[in-house]
Amino acid sequence: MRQQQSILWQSLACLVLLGLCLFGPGTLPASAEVQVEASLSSLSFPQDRAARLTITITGTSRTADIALPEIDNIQLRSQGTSSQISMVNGDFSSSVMHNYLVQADKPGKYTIPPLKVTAGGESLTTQPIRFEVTPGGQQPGAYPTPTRQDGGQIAFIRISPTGSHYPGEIVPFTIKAYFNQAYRVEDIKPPTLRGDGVVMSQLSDQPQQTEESVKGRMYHVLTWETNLSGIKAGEHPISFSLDATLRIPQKRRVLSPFGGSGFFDDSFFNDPAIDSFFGSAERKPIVSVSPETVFTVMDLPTADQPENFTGAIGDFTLNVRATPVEVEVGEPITLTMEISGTGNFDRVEAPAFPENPDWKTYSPSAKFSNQAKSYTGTKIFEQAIVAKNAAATEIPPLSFSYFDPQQRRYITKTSKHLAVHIQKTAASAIASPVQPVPAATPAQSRSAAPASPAPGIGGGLAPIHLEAGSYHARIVPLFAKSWFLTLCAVCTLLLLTVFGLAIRRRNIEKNPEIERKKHKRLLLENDLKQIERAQAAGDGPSFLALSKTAIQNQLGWLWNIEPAALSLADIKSRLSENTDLLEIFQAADEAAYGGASLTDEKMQEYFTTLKKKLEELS
Amino acid sequence: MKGRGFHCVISTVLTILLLATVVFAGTVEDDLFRRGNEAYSRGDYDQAIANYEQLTTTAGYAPAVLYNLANSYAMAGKTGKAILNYERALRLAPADSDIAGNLELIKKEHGLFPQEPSTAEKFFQLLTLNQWTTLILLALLLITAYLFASMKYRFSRQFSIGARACCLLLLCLGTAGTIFRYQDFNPSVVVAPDVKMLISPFASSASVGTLPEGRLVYPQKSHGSFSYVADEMNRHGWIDSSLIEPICQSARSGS
Repeated sequence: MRQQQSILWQSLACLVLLGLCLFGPGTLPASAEVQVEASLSSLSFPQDRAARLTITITGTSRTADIALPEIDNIQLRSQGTSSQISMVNGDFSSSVMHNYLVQADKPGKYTIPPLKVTAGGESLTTQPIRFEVTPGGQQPGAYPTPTRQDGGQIAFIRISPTGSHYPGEIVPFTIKAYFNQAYRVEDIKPPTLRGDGVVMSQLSDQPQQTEESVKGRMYHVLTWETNLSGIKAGEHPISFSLDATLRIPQKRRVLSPFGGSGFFDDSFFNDPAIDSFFGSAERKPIVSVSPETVFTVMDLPTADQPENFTGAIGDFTLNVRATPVEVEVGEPITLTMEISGTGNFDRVEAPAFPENPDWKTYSPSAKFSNQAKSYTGTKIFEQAIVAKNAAATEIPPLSFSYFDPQQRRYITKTSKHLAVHIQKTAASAIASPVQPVPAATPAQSRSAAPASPAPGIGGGLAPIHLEAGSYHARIVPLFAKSWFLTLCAVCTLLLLTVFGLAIRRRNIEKNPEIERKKHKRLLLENDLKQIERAQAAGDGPSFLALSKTAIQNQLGWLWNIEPAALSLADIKSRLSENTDLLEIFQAADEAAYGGASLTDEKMQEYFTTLKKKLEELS
Repeated sequence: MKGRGFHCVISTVLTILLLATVVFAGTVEDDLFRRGNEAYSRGDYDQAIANYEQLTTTAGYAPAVLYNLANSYAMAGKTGKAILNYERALRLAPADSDIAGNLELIKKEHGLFPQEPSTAEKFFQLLTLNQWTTLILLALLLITAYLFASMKYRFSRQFSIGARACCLLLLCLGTAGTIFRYQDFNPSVVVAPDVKMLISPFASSASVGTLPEGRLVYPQKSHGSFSYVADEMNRHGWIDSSLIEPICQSARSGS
């Protein structure tokens, strides 16, 4: 029993101790002195790192209001709170630590002003903290965020060498951007040219992607093939810059509350994949700049420069052809001039057709079809030329001049003479002026020629008309005219009607019984009408005669016998059961020979019976 | 009796007024046309254009007036307007060789050569739009006549099939020809020299080419004061709508 009481007391003591441990800090006497202290984990840190600001509140509960100051270019981010309980010589003391991450947007010297902390009903302030943010590791010109970190260069650019060139010359150029595989770089923009006097053709959004090892480190390499072209003579220093975004895992900056390297600083958790998965990353813009190079542009030699040189630099060939080669005077010939090769095709212009009284020329059209590279291809010019007279027997040679940068001299390509056969026709009057004629009157002629040659067309026009003719309110096609639409509608209706009739006729031909039935019905209706009229007139003999005829008609149609040939004997032999019809037929026969008459009642009775029985026959 | 006499007087006056209006109108039109012709003959093309334009505005479109107007524009060096009016005249009188000849001549003289037509285009260009449309009507009449005749007379099966096939073929050809030719019935004509085709419907946008005066273009859509057109070379771009004029104005506005 005693042993049981001892165990009970020991258990109670343990519970009290545990309760004190758990709830002690919150239930400490309010009279304990509250103290506030602010500290920064590092008073000097690089821009791409962060420091931890800890505000320690001792001697109070967890609840405290801290007024965070606004500091230019400094960001304070809460990292939560932690608490600590200590017991020294039997006295409990507690402290609450509020942790903040301090990050700087720019390098420089900063001061965290005194922080106002309200805790335990008291308002306290901390001491100001001065600290310095140093620039992070970056290569020259890579502002604002470094492109160099501990793991080597984040990004750098290599460019192909430039030499000496001529204004307008197309210079193939390669830009290679290297991105360290140890870093995650995204939103990479195409490089831009820095410098004057040189232009670069537009870069592709989808550069060639490869991998290369540089000094033992693996890099993703983006390669752009482009062209440079100098626009003025001189030495032009140029470089290329590239904008991108560096994805910095946020967790790498979180300092362990336990100080130094914590569990989450383990290399496993430094895996970019883990960082990416949990999404705790910050994006910072980076700029990578290539080494500066000098692009030298020399003036084109003025000596021996051909007159028809238009600025084309490269290596070209000229091919000229004409179609058709057999035409009449005034008919156009298409002159096709193909200039193929490599060079600045934007400066390649159509070879000028030499001034020639036999030929009239028009402005050429141009079409460029490039091959894999924009500066290699064929520019095709098509020009319409018209022979003014039959004296033209050939198309004169056409010349195209360009400057060859390899040979450093001007080259002129000339086409051969193209033989053509021009036939003389009446149309050759195009060029002949029209002689002025006096004003004509309608009585003289239907047409009148103009008084003077046309300034633009040079005559050749057919004369004006002297009869105005009919006027139209609008120019509409025939199918939109009302009379045409009406005619079409009438035709369509007729067509449908005839089509319907044709179908009906075909149906009748296929099934003649329908027509016969119709005929029988019409016959019966007609007979009954006549009988009705005779009944109304009280004409008994006629009533009976018409009744007989009606019976003969219907039975004759039914038995396919001539109605008039049907006698009482025939009906008796075939219609033994129908006594009503027999009775009427017999009465009609008797009346015809004996002259019997009928009362109105009897006629009504006969009519009703006759109608019913004859309708039943069908 | 009194009322009847009054009605007679009113009717007579109205009839006289109507006849006078018709006669006077005819006289005014004839006078304008004559004065236009006289101006043309003495080489006063601007005056001739003014007369013919006034005539067209007041009386409507007549092939001869449009043709004379086109001639006047051609002689005045206004190629675009000349081609516009030749095309209009040709719509009303497609068989007029003077109109077709002058149009061809002015186009040739100004380098407005059409593209080589394809085989289908060559075929459908054998007839005009109205001729193809007439073929539809003819086909309908023939089919109706045949069906009427077939109700009265018995034709052999071969003849029936042949006649029906011919009518159907005629109808299909007429429809196809009408549809094909209608596509180029109402283009617009560039009436200003060297009109720039732009990438976007803004005056400051880049040019994709130049349209010579007189070139036919086919408006496809519009945005503000710009129209998106395709030219005979199948180039596309935006041009200022005020620099082109449709051949059939009312049809265009209605479409």
